[in-house]
Amino acid sequence: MKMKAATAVLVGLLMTFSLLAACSNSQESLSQTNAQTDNQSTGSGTANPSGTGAAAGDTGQGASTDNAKETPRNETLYINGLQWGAPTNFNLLSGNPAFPINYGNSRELIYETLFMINMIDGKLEPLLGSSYTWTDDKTLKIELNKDAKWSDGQPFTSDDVVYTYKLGQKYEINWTSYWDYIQDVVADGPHAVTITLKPDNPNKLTVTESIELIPMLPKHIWEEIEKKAGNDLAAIRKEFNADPVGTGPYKIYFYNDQKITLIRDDNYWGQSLFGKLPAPKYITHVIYKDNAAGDLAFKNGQVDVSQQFTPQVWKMWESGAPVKTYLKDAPYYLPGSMPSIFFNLSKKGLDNADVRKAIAMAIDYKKISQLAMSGYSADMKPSLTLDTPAESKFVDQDAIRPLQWTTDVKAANELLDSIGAKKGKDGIRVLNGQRLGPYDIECPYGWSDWNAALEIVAQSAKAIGIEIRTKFPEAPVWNNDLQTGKFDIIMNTPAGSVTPANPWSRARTIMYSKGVAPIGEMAFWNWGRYKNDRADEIIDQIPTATDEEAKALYTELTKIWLQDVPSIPLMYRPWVFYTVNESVWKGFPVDGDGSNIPPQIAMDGAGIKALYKITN
Amino acid sequence: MNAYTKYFVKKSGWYLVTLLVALVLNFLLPRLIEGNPVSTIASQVSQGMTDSDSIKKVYENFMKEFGIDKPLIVQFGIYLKHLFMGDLGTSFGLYPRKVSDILASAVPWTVGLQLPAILVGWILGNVLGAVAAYRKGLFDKVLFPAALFINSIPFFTLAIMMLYLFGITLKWFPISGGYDFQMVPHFSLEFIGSVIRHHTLPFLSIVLVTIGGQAIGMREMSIYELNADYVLYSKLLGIRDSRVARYVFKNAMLPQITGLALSLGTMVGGSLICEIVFSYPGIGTWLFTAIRQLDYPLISGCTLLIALTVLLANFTIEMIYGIVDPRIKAAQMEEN
Amino acid sequence: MTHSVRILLKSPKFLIGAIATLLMLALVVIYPLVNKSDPFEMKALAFQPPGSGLPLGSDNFGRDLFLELVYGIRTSVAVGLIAGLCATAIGLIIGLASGYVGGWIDNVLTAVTNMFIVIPSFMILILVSVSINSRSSLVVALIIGLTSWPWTARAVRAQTVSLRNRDHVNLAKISGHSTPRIIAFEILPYIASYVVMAFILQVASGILAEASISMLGLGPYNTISLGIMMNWALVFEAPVSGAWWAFIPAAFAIAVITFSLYMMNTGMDEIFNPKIRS
Repeated sequence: MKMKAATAVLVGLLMTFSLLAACSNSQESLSQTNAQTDNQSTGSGTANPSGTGAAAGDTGQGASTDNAKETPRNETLYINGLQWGAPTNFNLLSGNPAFPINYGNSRELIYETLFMINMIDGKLEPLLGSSYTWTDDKTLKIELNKDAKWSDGQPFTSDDVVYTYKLGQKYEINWTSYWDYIQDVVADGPHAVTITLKPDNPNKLTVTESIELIPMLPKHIWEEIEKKAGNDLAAIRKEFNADPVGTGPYKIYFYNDQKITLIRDDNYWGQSLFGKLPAPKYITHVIYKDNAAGDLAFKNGQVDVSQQFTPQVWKMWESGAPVKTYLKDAPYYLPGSMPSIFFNLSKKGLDNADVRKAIAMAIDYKKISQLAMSGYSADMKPSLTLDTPAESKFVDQDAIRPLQWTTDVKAANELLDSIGAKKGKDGIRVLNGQRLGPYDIECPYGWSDWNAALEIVAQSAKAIGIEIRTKFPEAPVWNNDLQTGKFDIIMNTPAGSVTPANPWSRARTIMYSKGVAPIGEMAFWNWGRYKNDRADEIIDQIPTATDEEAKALYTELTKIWLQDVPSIPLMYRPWVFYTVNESVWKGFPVDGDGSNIPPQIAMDGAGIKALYKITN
Repeated sequence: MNAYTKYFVKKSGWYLVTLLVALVLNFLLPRLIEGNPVSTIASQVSQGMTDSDSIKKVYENFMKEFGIDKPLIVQFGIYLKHLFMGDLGTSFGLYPRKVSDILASAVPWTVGLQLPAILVGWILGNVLGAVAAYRKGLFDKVLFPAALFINSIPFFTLAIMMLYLFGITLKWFPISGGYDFQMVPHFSLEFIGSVIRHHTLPFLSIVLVTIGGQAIGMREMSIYELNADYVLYSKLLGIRDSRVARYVFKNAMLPQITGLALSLGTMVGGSLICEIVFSYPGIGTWLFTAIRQLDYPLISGCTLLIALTVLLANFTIEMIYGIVDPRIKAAQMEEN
Repeated sequence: MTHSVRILLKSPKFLIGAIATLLMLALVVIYPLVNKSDPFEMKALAFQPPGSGLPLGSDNFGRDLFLELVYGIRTSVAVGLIAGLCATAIGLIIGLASGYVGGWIDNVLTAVTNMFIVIPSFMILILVSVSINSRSSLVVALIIGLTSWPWTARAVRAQTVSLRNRDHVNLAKISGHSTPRIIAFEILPYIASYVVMAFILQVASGILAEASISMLGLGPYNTISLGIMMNWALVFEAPVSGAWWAFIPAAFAIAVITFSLYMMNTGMDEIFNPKIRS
């Protein structure tokens, strides 16, 4: 019948189309692996695990999939929480590289930094650099490790260090800002480098940060890439860099939309430094769609190290799973940052410091820690520094204690009463004709612990007669609101990494007003546009002050902050979450085991020493 | 055939206009969203920078690279030009991956999930509906409310409940992804088995809801037809029941087939929520991620693909109908 | 009219649907008068199972889930009603105009209607929801209404076209009555039952659309609706934690509401649509 024929044709057409699409897709990936020598391929691909002397990009032989089926479970370390979404590229200069190429965490898997940061004591441990000294206030001398070499066999020399630093001078990339403080970087023989600071802006703090943060790139590879791209950053960014040459112990083995796998380089130079090779032969990061999927996999032992926020983690070991966190008891994680809320100081009502102080006193920080952070935040002691031995030594704790607020709803109400903010009929206070509300408080949608924290803040404010409404826009919208000052109250983490530059960096992000564009234009710190000349002075002075001078300056700065309340820290959050499941790999570092290996997910900074400790 | 050619031309013209409107909409709407699409990637690059001017330059560089610093009309012109050359642009969020790559990798998953599910659901649903209409009695009284209930459970609710029940509590099926994470796509029994295991839950949830809807529709149409004069007349004439049944169902099928074809048309976009709940790597997930990240080219690419398939399906139906159904042809003639 | 109502009351399907709906509405109206607490108040720990004082346990924020459910049903139904009203009104006007007046108005309106039908409305819904800045439930309801009218318009138009050549309409035309008057008095009463059924369906689909869009996280701010409850459950990993009470009751509530509305509609359909009277 005609009808049947017609439908048959239709269905047939549709099936053919879909088959064609599937076929063309697989054909594409095949041809792309064949063309991998050009380093321009996208999609899935395999880099053959090469031994010695394989230059970048000579891989890609035929069909990619037959020799990379699965990696043995007991030779693979699974990690999650570092890669959301399909891998984009492995180019450090692109701005959005995939795991494990990363800037800001000192990830030592493929590229390495000169020194490794240890968040437990704040010290920098030797890696590519063997020692560093400040010969005077403006000169930093670094000795390099003579054994270091690149994965393609070339030796690592001071030329590479100079080249990498100078890339920041040439192009606008992640480490360009260090050149605000650096005068020059010169090689001092093949195994030493001297960094001189600018005489008018000698900031030892940030320069010390640079030697543990900037991953070293090979000059002989990247000079070629620069030449090919005609020294145009936009073209350099398009470089996929499928098989990065670094000094680190691992290389890229396989990647596609579902996972990224690294393989150990058995010729790694660091065997002389660490005494042996890292234990896992493979490291795989499965790309989970969201937190829930990753948490479930971790619970089932499919993931060994998890950098995800895992709610109520204690339930896992209570139900018998061999799960551990760095600290045995609450708060389970070491603090690394203080997500805070920032007030837009141009909004009427919020421009009054007493109103802000009252809000700070009304917030139930314990509830935030319990409900939003599953108890992972220690008791909140408001300050510009973290409540850790490494940072709290910068401030005279006794001097600031009388000014530190605690949750005291009664006192908050009294404060607001005393300044004449009377409660209206709807329970919301009115101050000098200005109704205290409705104020919108925002953070990105989907960041569940932040969302919950802001809901609690809104409720707490209601109790003292201030109306705050929550708003959870998409991340790019929130980012835009943050920078252009289009908010009433907004949540963000100021200077969220652990570096030698903290707490100065954090104080600068919260209070420094120089270089901040007015509301409506983009600002990249001090989003509430807080202005205090004395604070600016102090922030300018600290980097060149001696230790005793610095302490006095920090204390004065903290006092100003406690009185003006431009921001309120809501919780302590770890730098990276470190939860391990010891069903396959055992021996992960925990607090009190004497190893001094920090909980930096076994791959960041000094945390990579964990890979030499675990066994199975 | 002259009237018919006129019909053909009129319809094609109208579809082209609709396509244009769809193009404009799927270009314009994402760009109306407040927020800078470069902010995700620019803030990653400028992480650690302390000088406002250099950070601002990073943003401006990216905006120039992505072409969003030009006025809207110019951007639209560039977009159309690239479209005619088959270039759907480069994704912002997954820079520098091309949008056509991403879509090509996602379409097989979506189609592979939806096509069999819709077909199976359609066949089963129609059979059930027809049987219920013909048999009447107890079967009908039980089937109809059950089908109605399942049909009114919103599809994503069913998906979540199944995920919870079968995936998490009973652990019979995996809860996310297209295939086992440890595997690499290749042609082997293991891989196919893994794909099927991951495919089952989303497949079942679509099938169940489709069965419900189809059963109800088919039952209605069958009842309508069974009450028609020619059925009574045929019965009186003594024609065998099975023969009558054949005529009845042929007529009842007509709107159902339209429904099937339309479902197939919405197939590409229809599984949005299902894919999100099961994190199945199809077009729906990509579209949603793109919207989250304000990834204009990817949003436009996905919505264009969805609109295109729907339009294509509708167009094909209209053409086929015009040829096949004599009633419509007559009405066409009459209208003209 | 009364005759129709009496017949309706005899239909079991209609009765089941109507009673279920009424019961739910009663619960939603009466319970808040009894329990005056604020549904936003966080009174317990997260994900407490149903038990002492909390009939349905607590959600991820530590809020009373049963209270949230009641308020959620209220918001969802309200949004559905407004969306349904909006969609039916627009659909009615457009359908009547294009069906009765005919000519080029008909062609234009039909083209527009078909355009809206073909371009997937859910996609437009997502895009518009993401782009607007203020998201109150009213705005969401209006958007849903503005994207789901085409179906009603098409159906109304078909009915109007078949009615426009009837004798009584021609009589009225000859008598010189104005067009709006003819539409209102000669055509509208005949399609009234159909419009009511369409309205019920639009309400049901409005509730579903709101639930879908809220579940994706694009729903109204600062309100509690069934879709938003499910969204929180997903974002805070309720299924993984085993906290079934955080999403199953909400899902069930949605199913029951839409089911009863569909039942009402089917009951009415069986009575008013002569074609399927068996």
